[in-house]
Amino acid sequence: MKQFSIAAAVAALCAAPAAYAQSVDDSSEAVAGSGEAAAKLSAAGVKTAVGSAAVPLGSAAATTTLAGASAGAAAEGMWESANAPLEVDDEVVLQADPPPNVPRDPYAAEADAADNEETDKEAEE
Amino acid sequence: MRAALAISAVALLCATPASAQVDSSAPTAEPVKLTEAEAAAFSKQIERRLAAGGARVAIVFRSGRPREALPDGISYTHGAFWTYGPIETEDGKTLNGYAVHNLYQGREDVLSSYLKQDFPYDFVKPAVEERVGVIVPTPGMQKRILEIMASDQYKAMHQPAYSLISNPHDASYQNCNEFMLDVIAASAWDTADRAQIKTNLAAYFKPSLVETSLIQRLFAPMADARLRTDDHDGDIRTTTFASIAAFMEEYDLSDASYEITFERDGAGN
Repeated sequence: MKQFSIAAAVAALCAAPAAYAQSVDDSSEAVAGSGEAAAKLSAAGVKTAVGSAAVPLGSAAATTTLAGASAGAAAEGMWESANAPLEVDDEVVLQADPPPNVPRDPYAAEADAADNEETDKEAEE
Repeated sequence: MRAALAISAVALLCATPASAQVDSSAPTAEPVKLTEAEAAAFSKQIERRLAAGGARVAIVFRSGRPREALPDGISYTHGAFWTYGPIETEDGKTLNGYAVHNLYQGREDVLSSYLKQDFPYDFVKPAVEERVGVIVPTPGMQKRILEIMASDQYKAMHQPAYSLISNPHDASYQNCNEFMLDVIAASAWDTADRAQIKTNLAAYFKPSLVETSLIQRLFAPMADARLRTDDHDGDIRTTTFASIAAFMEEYDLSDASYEITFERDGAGN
């Protein structure tokens, strides 16, 4: 009975923080490369484009970084028409994949996998 | 001795990765994420809604967890600034739309964070709830936020030490929502002084209470290292969509706050 009580207490103690963790978890991890997404979206008929630079309209950098004079002119007048509808293009903008990262050792990935498997076994024991 | 064993057992069980506990205790099936095409349509729906209201800057929140799995008062698990402007593409075109400015927790080191700009599709794809929360700052606040984002002050507002439940009145840790709150506060008070920002937030910002017991607070860091509690004095209070929206509304810093639900009938793309 005493053992059961300890087990129940342990479960109760841990359940809340775990729920708590999942509550805010997800959390803010970046989405991985979008090459696969681009293929699936194209197959679904969605127009996509890979974004290379985006500078908020109205920031000083927008006038020099993007689209030259047109962005600059748009930025200058933007606050005069605050709340006026803005145009959004149809294309869904995706990120480029991260730079390639291939180990020089052709067997490195297999060695890592074997190490992980060994670690998992130890953890189970 | 028996007490020591019990404490060790608690520590071991609590140290089990949160994900494993989620799997074992989940009352329902694993939440279903949007497909690529759905995420694309929903992200475009959000962009069009923001653009229709002329929002150059919006604060948008998504949830990577089902709402029923979240504690009272917490509806979303990630928030970011969305900014309107021209987007250059790799094939040389310039598109009009929104970019998303995030604070993400580290992949390798989950106790640290980094700033990253990506796009609405990336924001929506991990969501499991088909709705997002939106706060639209007043035009005056939008302008100030954009000015900070274009300056070195934006990065200076970043505290890389990450906690899922960071206390917004304390500068020790930060999560995505607290980072946005700090930028909002820097804009509102027109200051780059983080100590002053925290002092002002302590006076004017009411964070959301996360219901916990003393025992839960004690063991939370063992359950998940990201649940740091040493920046809290007693209750756990953190930054949420609701608390930012209430703060901005109270001090006339926002024009609107609302939710957008995914319309599956093709309203997006």
